[in-house]
Amino acid sequence: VSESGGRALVSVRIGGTWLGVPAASVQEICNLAGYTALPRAPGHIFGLLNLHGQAVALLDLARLLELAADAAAPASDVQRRVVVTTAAGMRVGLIADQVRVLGEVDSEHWREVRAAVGSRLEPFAAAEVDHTVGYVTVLELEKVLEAACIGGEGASR
Amino acid sequence: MKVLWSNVGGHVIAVAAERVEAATDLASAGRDDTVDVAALLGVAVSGGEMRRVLRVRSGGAALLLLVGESVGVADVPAPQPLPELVAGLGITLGVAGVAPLAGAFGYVLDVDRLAQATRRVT
Repeated sequence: VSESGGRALVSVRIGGTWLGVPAASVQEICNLAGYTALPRAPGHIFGLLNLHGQAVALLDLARLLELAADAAAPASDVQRRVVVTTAAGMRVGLIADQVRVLGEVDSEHWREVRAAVGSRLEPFAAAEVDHTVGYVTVLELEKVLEAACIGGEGASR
Repeated sequence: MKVLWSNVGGHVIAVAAERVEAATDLASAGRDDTVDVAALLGVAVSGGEMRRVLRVRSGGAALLLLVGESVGVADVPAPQPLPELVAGLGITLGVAGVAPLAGAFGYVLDVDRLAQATRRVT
């Protein structure tokens, strides 16, 4: 949180939805290239990314949060980006159609959750931010990752 | 670490070479101590595809792993555990970890865990 009450965000577009994650939890942004499929994984687990020799699980937020696809989304995996985040003791790559680093967003631009009310996204929404890209739903990343985490039999926790 | 690896339904699996006694043809499979790795991974293998069998050692007993047609040998770094988000799948898959292999990650099988599971079933 800055002196003006703002918080730094990285926003990701998934289909027609912009989501925000705290910049402090973002480790790296890279291309989605050379991933490995993971057998018996639920649909929201995209696979494993080789990040500097380390395996990082890739999370498909579109599947987990049931976000609508958008015609403007890139058609191929090559064009998609991965935002590598750390939260809840896990390092996870979020797959995005587009990424923007918003930097500090002043407190006057923040509001309570409205757009996401009633959707699958609502339980994971901390707030909404009015930005040039439109309204960005800021995620409670820990909650998202805990919901996505796989138990012993391959099902979501 | 030296491993024997095979492509099973699009997934690369590996077994520590020191645990492998022999790589044979399909004729020696079909016994109770055979693990169909394709079924383990939940992938389909076409009926016409040739299969190979790895005879591996677990404790004092042998276990047969039904894998893909081609079997290769490679030196890989020590396996790293599955990432925390998907760690629970390791038990389901009988996987000890992953290692960079054949341009992707290979799933290194936990032979002892598979042997225990097989003995429980049979």
